[in-house]
Amino acid sequence: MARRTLFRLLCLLLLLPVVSCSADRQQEIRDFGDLERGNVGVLTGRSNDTAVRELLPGADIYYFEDLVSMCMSLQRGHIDAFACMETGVDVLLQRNPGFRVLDGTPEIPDTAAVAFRKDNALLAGQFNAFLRDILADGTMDDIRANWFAPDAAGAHYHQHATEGEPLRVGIEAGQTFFTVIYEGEGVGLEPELMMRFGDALGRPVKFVEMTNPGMIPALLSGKVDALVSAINPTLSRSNRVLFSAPYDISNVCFVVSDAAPVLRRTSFWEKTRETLISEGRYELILEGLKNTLIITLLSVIFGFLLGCLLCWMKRRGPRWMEAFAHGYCEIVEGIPIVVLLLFMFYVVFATSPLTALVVAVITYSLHFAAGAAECLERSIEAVDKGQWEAGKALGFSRFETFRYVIAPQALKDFLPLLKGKAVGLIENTSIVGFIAIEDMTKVTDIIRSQTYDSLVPLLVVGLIYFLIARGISVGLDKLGDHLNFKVK
Amino acid sequence: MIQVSHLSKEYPGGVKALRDVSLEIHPGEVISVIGPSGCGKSTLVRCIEGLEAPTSGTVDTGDSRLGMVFQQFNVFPHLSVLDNVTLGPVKINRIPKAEAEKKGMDLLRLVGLAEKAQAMPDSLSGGQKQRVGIARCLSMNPDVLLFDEPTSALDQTMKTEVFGVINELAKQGMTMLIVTHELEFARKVSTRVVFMHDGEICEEGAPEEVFERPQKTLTRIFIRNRRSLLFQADSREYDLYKFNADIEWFCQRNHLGKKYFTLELITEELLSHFLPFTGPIHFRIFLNEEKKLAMEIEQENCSSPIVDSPDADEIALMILQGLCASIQEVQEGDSRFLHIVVNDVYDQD
Repeated sequence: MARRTLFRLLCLLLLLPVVSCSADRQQEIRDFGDLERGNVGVLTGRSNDTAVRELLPGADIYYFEDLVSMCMSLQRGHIDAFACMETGVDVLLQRNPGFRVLDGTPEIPDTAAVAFRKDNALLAGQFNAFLRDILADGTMDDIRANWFAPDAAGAHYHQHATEGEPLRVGIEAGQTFFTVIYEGEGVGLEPELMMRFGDALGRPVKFVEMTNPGMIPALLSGKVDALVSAINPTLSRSNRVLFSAPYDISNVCFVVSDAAPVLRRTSFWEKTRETLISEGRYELILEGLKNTLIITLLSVIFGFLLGCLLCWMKRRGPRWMEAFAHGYCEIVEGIPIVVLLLFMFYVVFATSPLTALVVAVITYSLHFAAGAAECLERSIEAVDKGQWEAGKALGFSRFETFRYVIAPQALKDFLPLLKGKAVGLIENTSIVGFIAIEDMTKVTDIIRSQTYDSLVPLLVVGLIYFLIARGISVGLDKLGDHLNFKVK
Repeated sequence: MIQVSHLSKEYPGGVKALRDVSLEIHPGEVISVIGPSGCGKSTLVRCIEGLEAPTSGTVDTGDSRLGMVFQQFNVFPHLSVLDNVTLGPVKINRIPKAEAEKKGMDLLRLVGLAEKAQAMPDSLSGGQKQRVGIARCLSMNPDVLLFDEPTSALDQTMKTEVFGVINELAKQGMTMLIVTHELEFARKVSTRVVFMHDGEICEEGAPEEVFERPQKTLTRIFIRNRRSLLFQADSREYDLYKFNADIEWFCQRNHLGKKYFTLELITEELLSHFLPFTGPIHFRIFLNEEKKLAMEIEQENCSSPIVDSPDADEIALMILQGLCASIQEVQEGDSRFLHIVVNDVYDQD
């Protein structure tokens, strides 16, 4: 009974932050002038924030990672308005009753172009020619109507070209109206545009989903051939990449909400259904879970083997090896894993054909090795030195002593230490989305961008992470009990 | 059998643990290595076993197998008693497990631990652990057994257990080198005694020779002090309980039975009624040439009579005289000396 009460209390506590996000809207927004003292949301990585800052020097600017979070903040009254591209905003207004575009705003142009590598002028030229053609023959208008007209059908385009050298295109979901992820695939104006372009070239298009900070490095390092993500061809970006002619020319608009701040429009169960079952999203989660598990398990195995080598180098290797191993562990443990991951993906393996998943496994293995080596060293050193001498005195070789005498005793300390590292590893894998791997966390982002709900996906994925971590803990504990001394 | 030649060992930091030590071990010998703490006797045995590399000199073991018993036992805590004894034969000598276990049980019977075969070492007493250590050593069929202070970590009863086993091995003709602080045991069990001092072999010979007629002054002092109980009281706040415990321990070690009671009475009478505490007081309790319990007390900075004092408490004096066979008082420089021989009238248990 008491446990039940406690559980309810805990749930309440957990929900409190969500519920307490009640309105602190400062004022009613009637015209653009009111925004001057308001809170205005913009997206990170888009170029329009500079213009917004110049137009509204008195406003507080809030940066958001994706459109969904920004819409939610507006619904809940945390911000008074947000800036976004005019193209496709109708879709957003449809999905969010009460939202409207603020009239009478000054014109801030916001165009979208495809980015290519500077040394790939040929491809850029081909795209420009293709774009000119489809603008001339009305195909572009059809595409636009398919996605953005008030009664838009949103028919998916199916590519004809299947053979030939693939055209790798970096896309980004969640930030624009041009691309959304549906059943695990990018759909929308941009994907359709690029697939048609691929057909024109006779090359199948392969989409690589990525996040904004990694896009340009991925292009420069040759992981993708083109980027399409409503990129505004600014001057500073032109220094690094080659932009096509714009495929969309519009303005920045400001979206405000007339509705009273709302918390939820659908019930929890409705949301759960939408998050897990609609459009087969559980498959998306399972796919993410698979990637998370692959990275975790392989990294634990390879990292452990590498850790053994490092530990040997530290304890028995020649001086230079010992110094190397120590230095390696210090450095790897001292760098945030996300930095290491980006470094491996965009610098070390920038031009290699390895997939992001392989790079992630390598990175996490290298990281886990340092931790495993430390655990091994500490647990071996915890065994009394006299045990080594006893083994030697019995005529055991060093290896035999280790195998029969030291290792069984070290295991008692090693497993709990390793447990901490392994649980840390699985938690750390949640950042592989940075290099465009759809792990569980990344999948959550995608689902959030589709359902406009954060609570259920985060709860579900949080629970899965917790269960995996718990599984690892319990498993290692059981193993420890199994191998441990019969008498403590 | 084993030839140690000109062995020297210098530790980093310049500590010289061994200086040009040469020693020969012949089959069937039981050699005890004695000497004060830090004299290098442990280093010697560790160098012979190969646990430490000498700075110079050689250890030639020929083709004899060595086994070593450690001060801290070093039994394998993750293995049962029987597994401790069979690990080497099974894993190294590749003897079938059943055969190894049969032999292991024989060894455990030899050291008196057959009934503990399935126990884990942590459930054993120190003496039992050390006997497991000896049995484990024997499981590898050594030609020579080296003991590095096998009983230093044990209390008296456990020491006796372990001595019993070593004695048994000696009777069976096992060649052994024993580093020990237990002089009585060394004397009983060994065929040769080596006295080490400051990294060198100072004197060696048959036990009677070394213990009864030591040739070197250093040996003499060592043996005399090892057989004495020394205690110092600096003020009236001296540690009475420590003193009494030391006396009991001394009597136990020298098989003096209940004499500690007499000794405690004498020291208490002296300390509370006679000694003036004009400076530090040194007690030395020992067995004199006639094997009688004797006591020598030095009171520093004192020139007036202590027991012969006219102010002495008469009843206390009577008790003291009853307890002692003789009391002599001597002045030497600034110190006043009391020489007492304890009366053994009260020895009847």
